[in-house]
Amino acid sequence: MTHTPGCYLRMRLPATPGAPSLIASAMQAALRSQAASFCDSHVAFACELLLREALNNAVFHGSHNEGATVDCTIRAKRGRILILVQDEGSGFDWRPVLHRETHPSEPGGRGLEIYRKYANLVRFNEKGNAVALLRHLNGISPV
Amino acid sequence: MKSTITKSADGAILRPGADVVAESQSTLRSDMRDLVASGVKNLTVDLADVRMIDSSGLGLLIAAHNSLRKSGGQLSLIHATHDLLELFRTMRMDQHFSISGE
Repeated sequence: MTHTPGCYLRMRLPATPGAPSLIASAMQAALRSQAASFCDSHVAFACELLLREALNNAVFHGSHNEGATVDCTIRAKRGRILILVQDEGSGFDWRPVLHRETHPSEPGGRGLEIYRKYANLVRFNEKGNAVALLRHLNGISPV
Repeated sequence: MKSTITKSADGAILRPGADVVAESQSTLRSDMRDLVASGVKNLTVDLADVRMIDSSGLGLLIAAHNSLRKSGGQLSLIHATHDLLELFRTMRMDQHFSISGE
């Protein structure tokens, strides 16, 4: 793990069920190490939620091989946080589902809706095994 | 952390001991299934010790709500933080069951 104070976390972790919580704790610790005005607790909550969703998708849906790893990069600077998560899986076709509104009585399918509502920008790679989530720290919460 | 369960004549209160996220939801799912199977119709989930709920946790609450509705009961959430209240509103879950804050 590399940690340049205040702005950069880069990790490669085994795709285990505990990975999202581990990385979320690391991000919260990094955010807390900043000046108190860096971001408020509501934005920190939004960023942790986005991070967990990206990691859940990578760990639980994108990592089926034993020994699989997940790459995660978090950059926090210039009034925004960028979260990049990539898995080693075959990806998925995100195009038909990215803007789908989940019916309130459906138990599943809210991860992408959370991306849309809590991130200012959502981008997948062509293959669908990497996602970039951008959150402005002074943006409307949620967006 | 383990959940605390308090049963009463007209239902039960389930207080998760940790965040309701993908990593921890299998235990909570099992607790909820046991309560519904035992005949509990009105389930209150006390979120006093919960700081984060992810999409899998939201799905778990909706699945519990759907099961309780089928048996004529209901799900209620209490002691939600401001951020969780905002999450429930944003995801339109506040239209389907009772949710109150800290």
